[in-house]
Amino acid sequence: MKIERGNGREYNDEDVQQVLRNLYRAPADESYWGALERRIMAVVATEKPSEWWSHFPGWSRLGLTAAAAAVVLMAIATWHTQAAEQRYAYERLIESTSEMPLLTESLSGEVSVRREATLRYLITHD
Amino acid sequence: MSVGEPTDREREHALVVAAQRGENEAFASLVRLHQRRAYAVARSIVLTHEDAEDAVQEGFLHAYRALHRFLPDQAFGAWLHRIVANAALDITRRKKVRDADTLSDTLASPFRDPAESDELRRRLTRALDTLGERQRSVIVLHDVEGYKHAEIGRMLGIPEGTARSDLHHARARLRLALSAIRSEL
Repeated sequence: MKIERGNGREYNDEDVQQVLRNLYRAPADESYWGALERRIMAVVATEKPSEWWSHFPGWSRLGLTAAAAAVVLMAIATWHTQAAEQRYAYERLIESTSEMPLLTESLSGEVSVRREATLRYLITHD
Repeated sequence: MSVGEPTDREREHALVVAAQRGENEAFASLVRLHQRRAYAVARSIVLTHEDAEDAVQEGFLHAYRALHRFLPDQAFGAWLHRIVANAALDITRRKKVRDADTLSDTLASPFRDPAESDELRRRLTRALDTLGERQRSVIVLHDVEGYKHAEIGRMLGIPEGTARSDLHHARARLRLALSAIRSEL
Protein backbone atom coordinates (compact mmCIF):
# COMPACT_ATOMS: atom_id res chain seq x y z
CA MET A 1 0.00 0.00 0.00
CA LYS A 2 1.34 3.45 -0.85
CA ILE A 3 0.29 6.70 0.75
CA GLU A 4 0.67 10.11 -0.82
CA ARG A 5 2.73 12.69 1.03
CA GLY A 6 1.84 16.34 1.07
CA ASN A 7 4.77 17.17 -1.23
CA GLY A 8 3.65 14.67 -3.86
CA ARG A 9 5.97 11.79 -2.82
CA GLU A 10 4.56 8.60 -1.27
CA TYR A 11 5.22 6.71 1.95
CA ASN A 12 5.64 2.99 1.62
CA ASP A 13 6.92 0.06 3.69
CA GLU A 14 10.55 1.01 2.96
CA ASP A 15 9.95 4.49 4.43
CA VAL A 16 8.45 2.96 7.56
CA GLN A 17 11.34 0.51 7.77
CA GLN A 18 13.88 3.34 7.47
CA VAL A 19 12.34 5.34 10.30
CA LEU A 20 12.04 2.22 12.45
CA ARG A 21 15.73 1.43 11.89
CA ASN A 22 16.67 4.90 13.04
CA LEU A 23 14.44 4.65 16.08
CA TYR A 24 15.70 1.25 17.15
CA ARG A 25 19.31 1.50 16.08
CA ALA A 26 21.71 0.02 18.61
CA PRO A 27 24.45 2.29 19.96
CA ALA A 28 27.42 2.37 17.60
CA ASP A 29 30.01 3.49 20.15
CA GLU A 30 32.41 0.63 20.99
CA SER A 31 33.04 2.02 24.48
CA TYR A 32 29.33 1.67 25.19
CA TRP A 33 29.49 -2.09 24.54
CA GLY A 34 32.64 -2.46 26.61
CA ALA A 35 30.88 -0.75 29.51
CA LEU A 36 27.78 -2.94 29.12
CA GLU A 37 29.92 -6.09 29.10
CA ARG A 38 31.69 -4.99 32.30
CA ARG A 39 28.33 -4.21 33.91
CA ILE A 40 26.97 -7.66 33.01
CA MET A 41 30.11 -9.45 34.20
CA ALA A 42 30.08 -7.49 37.48
CA VAL A 43 26.59 -8.82 38.17
CA VAL A 44 27.58 -12.34 37.09
CA ALA A 45 30.61 -12.24 39.41
CA THR A 46 28.34 -11.71 42.43
CA GLU A 47 26.65 -15.04 41.72
CA LYS A 48 27.60 -17.92 44.02
CA PRO A 49 30.07 -20.35 42.49
CA SER A 50 28.28 -23.33 41.04
CA GLU A 51 28.04 -26.61 42.95
CA TRP A 52 30.33 -29.33 41.64
CA TRP A 53 27.43 -31.26 40.11
CA SER A 54 26.23 -28.22 38.17
CA HIS A 55 29.30 -28.53 35.93
CA PHE A 56 27.76 -31.64 34.40
CA PRO A 57 25.33 -30.61 31.69
CA GLY A 58 21.77 -31.96 31.27
CA TRP A 59 21.69 -35.73 30.89
CA SER A 60 24.99 -36.26 32.72
CA ARG A 61 23.51 -34.76 35.86
CA LEU A 62 20.38 -36.86 35.45
CA GLY A 63 22.55 -39.97 35.07
CA LEU A 64 24.60 -39.09 38.13
CA THR A 65 21.46 -38.54 40.18
CA ALA A 66 20.03 -41.89 39.04
CA ALA A 67 23.33 -43.68 39.84
CA ALA A 68 23.46 -42.10 43.30
CA ALA A 69 19.84 -43.16 43.94
CA ALA A 70 20.66 -46.73 42.81
CA VAL A 71 23.64 -46.88 45.21
CA VAL A 72 21.47 -45.70 48.11
CA LEU A 73 18.77 -48.28 47.26
CA MET A 74 21.37 -51.05 47.04
CA ALA A 75 22.81 -50.04 50.41
CA ILE A 76 19.35 -50.11 52.00
CA ALA A 77 18.57 -53.51 50.41
CA THR A 78 21.91 -54.97 51.61
CA TRP A 79 21.34 -53.69 55.13
CA HIS A 80 17.85 -55.22 55.16
CA THR A 81 19.20 -58.57 53.92
CA GLN A 82 21.97 -58.63 56.53
CA ALA A 83 19.52 -57.77 59.30
CA ALA A 84 17.15 -60.52 58.16
CA GLU A 85 19.97 -63.07 58.01
CA GLN A 86 21.16 -62.16 61.50
CA ARG A 87 17.64 -62.38 62.87
CA TYR A 88 17.14 -65.78 61.22
CA ALA A 89 20.46 -67.07 62.57
CA TYR A 90 19.60 -65.84 66.06
CA GLU A 91 16.16 -67.46 65.93
CA ARG A 92 17.69 -70.77 64.78
CA LEU A 93 20.15 -70.62 67.62
CA ILE A 94 17.39 -70.03 70.18
CA GLU A 95 15.22 -72.77 68.69
CA SER A 96 18.05 -75.33 68.58
CA THR A 97 19.06 -74.78 72.26
CA SER A 98 15.50 -75.34 73.45
CA GLU A 99 14.96 -78.47 71.35
CA MET A 100 18.30 -80.22 71.84
CA PRO A 101 17.88 -81.39 75.50
CA LEU A 102 14.46 -82.80 74.72
CA LEU A 103 15.83 -84.67 71.75
CA THR A 104 18.74 -85.95 73.80
CA GLU A 105 16.41 -87.01 76.56
CA SER A 106 14.08 -88.84 74.23
CA LEU A 107 17.00 -90.46 72.42
CA SER A 108 18.61 -91.59 75.68
CA GLY A 109 15.21 -92.85 76.84
CA GLU A 110 14.82 -95.00 73.73
CA VAL A 111 18.32 -96.40 74.12
CA SER A 112 17.76 -97.42 77.77
CA VAL A 113 14.46 -99.12 76.88
CA ARG A 114 16.24 -101.15 74.19
CA ARG A 115 19.02 -102.10 76.64
CA GLU A 116 16.50 -103.23 79.21
CA ALA A 117 14.65 -105.30 76.64
CA THR A 118 17.92 -106.92 75.57
CA LEU A 119 18.88 -107.74 79.18
CA ARG A 120 15.44 -109.23 79.90
CA TYR A 121 15.73 -111.35 76.80
CA LEU A 122 19.15 -112.65 77.80
CA ILE A 123 18.06 -113.39 81.39
CA THR A 124 14.83 -115.11 80.46
CA HIS A 125 16.22 -117.07 77.49
CA ASP A 126 19.24 -118.70 78.77
CA MET B 1 39.25 -20.02 5.93
CA SER B 2 41.98 -22.64 5.96
CA VAL B 3 41.30 -26.33 6.57
CA GLY B 4 41.32 -27.22 10.28
CA GLU B 5 40.58 -23.70 11.43
CA PRO B 6 37.62 -23.74 13.81
CA THR B 7 34.37 -22.24 12.54
CA ASP B 8 32.44 -19.59 14.45
CA ARG B 9 30.06 -22.31 15.62
CA GLU B 10 32.95 -24.45 16.90
CA ARG B 11 34.52 -21.50 18.69
CA GLU B 12 31.18 -20.69 20.29
CA HIS B 13 30.73 -24.34 21.28
CA ALA B 14 34.16 -24.31 22.94
CA LEU B 15 33.29 -21.10 24.80
CA VAL B 16 29.99 -22.54 26.03
CA VAL B 17 31.69 -25.71 27.30
CA ALA B 18 34.39 -23.65 29.05
CA ALA B 19 31.76 -21.37 30.60
CA GLN B 20 29.89 -24.45 31.83
CA ARG B 21 33.11 -25.54 33.56
CA GLY B 22 32.99 -22.24 35.43
CA GLU B 23 35.44 -20.14 33.37
CA ASN B 24 34.07 -16.60 33.65
CA GLU B 25 36.39 -15.31 30.91
CA ALA B 26 34.67 -17.68 28.47
CA PHE B 27 31.28 -16.36 29.55
CA ALA B 28 32.55 -12.79 29.07
CA SER B 29 33.49 -13.74 25.50
CA LEU B 30 29.96 -15.02 24.95
CA VAL B 31 28.61 -11.71 26.27
CA ARG B 32 30.91 -9.85 23.85
CA LEU B 33 29.72 -12.00 20.94
CA HIS B 34 26.01 -11.75 21.61
CA GLN B 35 25.26 -8.51 23.44
CA ARG B 36 24.45 -6.47 20.31
CA ARG B 37 21.87 -8.93 19.04
CA ALA B 38 20.53 -9.40 22.56
CA TYR B 39 20.12 -5.62 22.83
CA ALA B 40 18.26 -5.53 19.49
CA VAL B 41 15.88 -8.26 20.67
CA ALA B 42 15.25 -6.49 23.99
CA ARG B 43 14.90 -3.09 22.33
CA SER B 44 12.18 -4.41 20.04
CA ILE B 45 10.10 -5.38 23.06
CA VAL B 46 10.63 -2.63 25.65
CA LEU B 47 9.96 1.05 25.10
CA THR B 48 13.21 2.64 26.19
CA HIS B 49 16.93 2.25 25.71
CA GLU B 50 17.42 1.95 29.49
CA ASP B 51 14.87 -0.85 29.79
CA ALA B 52 16.60 -2.65 26.92
CA GLU B 53 19.90 -2.46 28.81
CA ASP B 54 18.25 -3.86 31.94
CA ALA B 55 16.65 -6.66 29.92
CA VAL B 56 20.02 -7.57 28.37
CA GLN B 57 21.67 -7.65 31.79
CA GLU B 58 18.88 -9.75 33.31
CA GLY B 59 18.87 -12.02 30.28
CA PHE B 60 22.60 -12.75 30.53
CA LEU B 61 22.30 -13.31 34.27
CA HIS B 62 19.44 -15.82 33.77
CA ALA B 63 21.49 -17.50 31.05
CA TYR B 64 24.51 -17.75 33.38
CA ARG B 65 22.38 -19.34 36.09
CA ALA B 66 20.82 -21.80 33.64
CA LEU B 67 24.03 -22.52 31.72
CA HIS B 68 24.43 -26.03 33.17
CA ARG B 69 21.06 -26.96 31.66
CA PHE B 70 22.04 -25.81 28.15
CA LEU B 71 23.11 -28.55 25.72
CA PRO B 72 26.21 -27.21 23.91
CA ASP B 73 25.20 -28.77 20.57
CA GLN B 74 22.24 -26.39 20.33
CA ALA B 75 22.45 -22.83 18.98
CA PHE B 76 23.49 -20.66 21.92
CA GLY B 77 22.24 -17.46 20.25
CA ALA B 78 18.68 -18.72 19.77
CA TRP B 79 18.58 -19.96 23.38
CA LEU B 80 19.95 -16.68 24.72
CA HIS B 81 17.61 -14.52 22.62
CA ARG B 82 14.62 -16.41 23.98
CA ILE B 83 15.80 -15.72 27.54
CA VAL B 84 16.44 -12.04 26.79
CA ALA B 85 13.01 -11.74 25.13
CA ASN B 86 11.40 -13.19 28.26
CA ALA B 87 13.34 -10.77 30.47
CA ALA B 88 12.20 -7.87 28.27
CA LEU B 89 8.58 -9.07 28.38
CA ASP B 90 8.82 -9.22 32.19
CA ILE B 91 10.05 -5.63 32.31
CA THR B 92 7.24 -4.53 29.97
CA ARG B 93 4.65 -6.23 32.18
CA ARG B 94 6.09 -4.48 35.23
CA LYS B 95 5.83 -1.12 33.47
CA LYS B 96 2.37 -1.31 31.99
CA VAL B 97 1.63 2.34 32.65
CA ARG B 98 3.39 4.31 29.96
CA ASP B 99 3.99 8.01 29.73
CA ALA B 100 4.07 9.31 26.17
CA ASP B 101 6.02 12.44 27.13
CA THR B 102 8.72 10.40 28.82
CA LEU B 103 8.84 8.24 25.73
CA SER B 104 9.53 11.22 23.46
CA ASP B 105 12.36 12.35 25.73
CA THR B 106 13.90 8.90 25.75
CA LEU B 107 13.92 8.66 21.99
CA ALA B 108 15.90 11.86 21.75
CA SER B 109 18.91 9.88 22.96
CA PRO B 110 22.41 10.55 21.58
CA PHE B 111 22.21 7.35 19.55
CA ARG B 112 19.43 8.59 17.26
CA ASP B 113 19.96 10.10 13.83
CA PRO B 114 19.66 13.89 14.19
CA ALA B 115 18.86 14.25 10.48
CA GLU B 116 15.64 12.29 10.84
CA SER B 117 12.48 14.34 10.75
CA ASP B 118 11.49 14.95 14.36
CA GLU B 119 7.84 15.16 13.50
CA LEU B 120 7.85 11.93 11.52
CA ARG B 121 9.70 10.16 14.28
CA ARG B 122 7.43 11.51 16.98
CA ARG B 123 4.30 10.42 15.09
CA LEU B 124 5.67 7.02 14.32
CA THR B 125 6.72 6.60 17.92
CA ARG B 126 3.19 7.39 19.07
CA ALA B 127 1.82 5.00 16.47
CA LEU B 128 4.18 2.28 17.74
CA ASP B 129 2.92 2.96 21.22
CA THR B 130 -0.65 2.22 20.12
CA LEU B 131 0.39 -1.19 18.85
CA GLY B 132 0.19 -4.15 21.19
CA GLU B 133 3.58 -5.07 22.66
CA ARG B 134 3.64 -8.25 20.61
CA GLN B 135 2.85 -6.49 17.30
CA ARG B 136 5.53 -3.90 17.99
CA SER B 137 8.08 -6.58 18.81
CA VAL B 138 7.23 -8.52 15.66
CA ILE B 139 7.56 -5.56 13.30
CA VAL B 140 10.84 -4.41 14.85
CA LEU B 141 12.34 -7.90 14.90
CA HIS B 142 11.31 -8.45 11.28
CA ASP B 143 11.78 -5.07 9.61
CA VAL B 144 14.71 -3.78 11.64
CA GLU B 145 16.59 -6.87 12.79
CA GLY B 146 15.75 -9.10 9.82
CA TYR B 147 14.51 -12.12 11.75
CA LYS B 148 12.26 -14.59 9.93
CA HIS B 149 8.69 -15.27 11.04
CA ALA B 150 9.59 -18.71 12.42
CA GLU B 151 12.52 -17.29 14.44
CA ILE B 152 10.31 -14.53 15.84
CA GLY B 153 7.67 -17.10 16.73
CA ARG B 154 10.20 -19.18 18.67
CA MET B 155 11.61 -16.11 20.40
CA LEU B 156 8.26 -14.74 21.54
CA GLY B 157 6.61 -18.11 22.11
CA ILE B 158 3.90 -17.65 19.45
CA PRO B 159 3.01 -19.65 16.30
CA GLU B 160 4.70 -18.59 13.04
CA GLY B 161 1.29 -17.73 11.53
CA THR B 162 0.56 -15.36 14.42
CA ALA B 163 3.88 -13.59 13.87
CA ARG B 164 3.03 -13.20 10.18
CA SER B 165 -0.43 -11.82 10.92
CA ASP B 166 0.92 -9.46 13.63
CA LEU B 167 3.41 -8.07 11.14
CA HIS B 168 0.67 -7.43 8.60
CA HIS B 169 -1.52 -5.57 11.11
CA ALA B 170 1.38 -3.60 12.56
CA ARG B 171 2.46 -2.37 9.13
CA ALA B 172 -1.08 -1.34 8.28
CA ARG B 173 -1.34 0.73 11.47
CA LEU B 174 2.00 2.43 10.93
CA ARG B 175 1.08 3.36 7.36
CA LEU B 176 -2.12 4.87 8.69
CA ALA B 177 -0.08 6.88 11.17
CA LEU B 178 2.08 8.20 8.35
CA SER B 179 -0.98 9.11 6.30
CA ALA B 180 -2.13 11.24 9.22
CA ILE B 181 1.16 13.13 8.92
CA ARG B 182 0.49 13.70 5.23
CA SER B 183 -2.78 15.44 5.99
CA GLU B 184 -1.03 17.82 8.39
CA LEU B 185 2.02 18.65 6.26
